[in-house]
Amino acid sequence: MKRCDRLVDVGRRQFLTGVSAATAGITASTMLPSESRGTPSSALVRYPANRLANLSDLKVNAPFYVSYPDANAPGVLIKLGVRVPTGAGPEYDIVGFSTTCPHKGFPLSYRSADKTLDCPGHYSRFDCEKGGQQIWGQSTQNLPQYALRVDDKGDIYAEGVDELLYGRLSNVL
Amino acid sequence: MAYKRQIGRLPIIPANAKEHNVVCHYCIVGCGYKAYTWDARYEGGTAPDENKFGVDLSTQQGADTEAWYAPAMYNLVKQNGHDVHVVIKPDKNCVVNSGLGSVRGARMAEMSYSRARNTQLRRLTDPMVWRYGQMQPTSWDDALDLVARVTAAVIAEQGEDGVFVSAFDHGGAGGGYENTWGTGKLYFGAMKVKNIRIHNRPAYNSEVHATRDMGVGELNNCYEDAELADTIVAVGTNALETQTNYFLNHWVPNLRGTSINKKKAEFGNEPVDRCRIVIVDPRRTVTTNACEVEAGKENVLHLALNSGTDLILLNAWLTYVADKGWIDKAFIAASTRDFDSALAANKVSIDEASRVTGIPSGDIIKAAEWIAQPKHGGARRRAMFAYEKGLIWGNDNYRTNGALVNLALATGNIGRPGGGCVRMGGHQEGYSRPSDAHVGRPAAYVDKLLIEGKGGVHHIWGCDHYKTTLNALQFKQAYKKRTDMVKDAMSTATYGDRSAMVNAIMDAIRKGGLFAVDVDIVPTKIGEACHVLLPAATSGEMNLTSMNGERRMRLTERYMDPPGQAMPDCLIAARIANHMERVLRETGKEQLADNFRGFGWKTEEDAFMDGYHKHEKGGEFVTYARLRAMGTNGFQEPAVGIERLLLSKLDLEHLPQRLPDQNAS
Ligand code: SF4
Ligand code: FES
Repeated sequence: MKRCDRLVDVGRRQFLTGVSAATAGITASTMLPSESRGTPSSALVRYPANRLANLSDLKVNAPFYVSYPDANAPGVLIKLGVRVPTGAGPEYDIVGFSTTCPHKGFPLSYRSADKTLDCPGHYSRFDCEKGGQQIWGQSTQNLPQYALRVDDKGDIYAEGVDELLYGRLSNVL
Repeated sequence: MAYKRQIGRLPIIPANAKEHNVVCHYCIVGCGYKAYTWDARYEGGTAPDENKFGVDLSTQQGADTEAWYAPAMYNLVKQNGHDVHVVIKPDKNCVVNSGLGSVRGARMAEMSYSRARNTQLRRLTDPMVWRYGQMQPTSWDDALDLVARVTAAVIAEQGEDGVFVSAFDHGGAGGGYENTWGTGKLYFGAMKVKNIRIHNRPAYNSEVHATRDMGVGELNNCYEDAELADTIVAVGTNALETQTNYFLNHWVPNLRGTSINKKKAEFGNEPVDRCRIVIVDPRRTVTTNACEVEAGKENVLHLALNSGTDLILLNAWLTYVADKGWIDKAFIAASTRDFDSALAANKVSIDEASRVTGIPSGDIIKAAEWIAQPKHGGARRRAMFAYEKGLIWGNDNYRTNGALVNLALATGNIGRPGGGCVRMGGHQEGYSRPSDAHVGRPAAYVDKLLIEGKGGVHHIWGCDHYKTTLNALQFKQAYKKRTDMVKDAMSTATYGDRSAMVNAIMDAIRKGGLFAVDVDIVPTKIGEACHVLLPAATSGEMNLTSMNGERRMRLTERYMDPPGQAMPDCLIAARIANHMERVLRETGKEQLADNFRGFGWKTEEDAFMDGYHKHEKGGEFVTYARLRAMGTNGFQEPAVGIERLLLSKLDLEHLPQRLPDQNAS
């Protein structure tokens, strides 16, 4: 590709300067300076698949604190007791979220009465049944939610996050 | 289900990114931000020397960190024709917000025009004219020639009273000192337009005439006063939602009791405690809830009065505190007139107030005690009165506003630390115009006159009557009918035949039609009725100065290009004036044409120097260079001078090349 592009470029120059086609090859070789290599990197963050808990660890409507994608990113698993579109597990009712408030990074706490994660910082509240939708608050994102998978043994794995985590410019550091 | 961006990574601001001062244009608080821009091909790195923060970004940053930004704070925009990354994030060093961003301001980047990322593509990019039955893009010269010719023709037939104007008068986006001066010089300088209204009301009047008539400007304290008050009285304002970071950064510390040391430092031996708050609002708002969380229920008194009964409550308080002798006699004697007759005229018993407002007598008395009962040892209680639309747009605005100011004056709370009787405000301010005295009082009820068929040409600047007038349905019907008459007439003329076009338009105007010109940044409802649309630039696409709710003036520096051919409003006004002058000279009206001289501005800075710098109190001390050097903290108006020390520091070190006023001191 690279080579091809340059030849097109060279061709354009030829045309503009009116140099004859016979010298094109020579010009091309003199125009190719020492090539440096770019650094390849993927377009998306590569998330680890981490085992966070087993189904037997979870009680309905009680927070089970975890961290993902690494130990410095606190989060929570909740078995809501009702099926939700983003729910995992046999009852499609298990969800997982970051518990670092995406506004200014204060720690969220779970309020079982209305299944929300609430922030003591500036009163932001997130709805765990609605994919972490901000109910009220000052964050410009909804709450980062985990992509969860439950295997045959009932082990719950997180395999990704759908929003940027507070305090890092790459979700995987 | 919740919207998710699926963004797991953002470009890192490189160490050499350009940094610009930004003041959030979304509300009156005017939080400080910084915009960082750099070439679209690059990003910084995680190593401390590779990023703007100088920290190791390969580790988790803590709460309240400066070294993080949300996806909403990022975009890809044009700067001088080149693609650049932009990050607009709250500025920790700004005393207004101390690094806090709200759900509005923290989205400034995402709410910018970006063709690369498809944000805000509804922005107007080109002048548009009604041509062969639809709006079509054209050049500035073509659009403005048409505007000038029709406007001049209307003036020739109807005088300047035939020119109707709707124009923003505020700061922040769609306003600011540059742009109010541009429009002001055009309509109050070159012309003397009296049929003019403001962005959110159908006439050219104040929302708070009463306080102004009493000699008390409505922005008469500092945000810091909210940290110093013994009691805050909040009337018809929901500050947590509508002045978010003012509430979070200045009310909350006082409600929590964390500003007590500041109070001690300021007031010496005077007894101080955490703040108590009286909230007058028929609704229980999130503000009330937050106050209870921070200060404890025992320090919050929410008075859910019957809607529209504020006046009687305020007068009952005045009566009660005067009866108790909890008034500042020396202050009253020195700063007011006819206090006794005001007291007599406004006398209301607690019982009567309770009956009308529906608030228990005990609560009304308790609030009066919180407001004015002397503190231990006899020190005057410091009360700060804050009000907004709940009072302003309630019934009997003038007298209700006056009653609140009476109470503040009686208790000695104007112009004193921990006091004030202030509007909370909506947008920032940025008013600089030649005198509007010719408009008179009461000001013309512009929307009613438009319904009645008055006026021949209507210039609209960042206003949308269809959404902001009384009796909107009737307005819309009448307006559509009148502007349709002109549209139909325009469709009969060949577009290229300018004189035939103007004749057709004038013919329709004589029959009751209206020619409408709309200047805005996005398509509006009333814009659908207009014949010419002119695309304006907004904050950050131009340099723009405004002041916030504590009169703190700052410069938002231009960090990106306006979309397409869009221009700052002040320059649009100047170009209209240039075309008016040309058209008037062409038709031999030399004297009239002369009125339109003095609009040679090339940049918004020219407009600033012609307006604010030359005409506002202390303006001679204020220049872009100085504002730039003062950053997001700026200064609190009015400018009273520049201290020697500051002068040498600012002028000699930072601004050696551009000093129009070397002798200022
Ligand atoms: S509080 Fe107002 S000025 Fe501050 S960030 Fe929010 S909208 Fe902007
Ligand atoms: S940190 Fe959570 S609301 Fe501000």
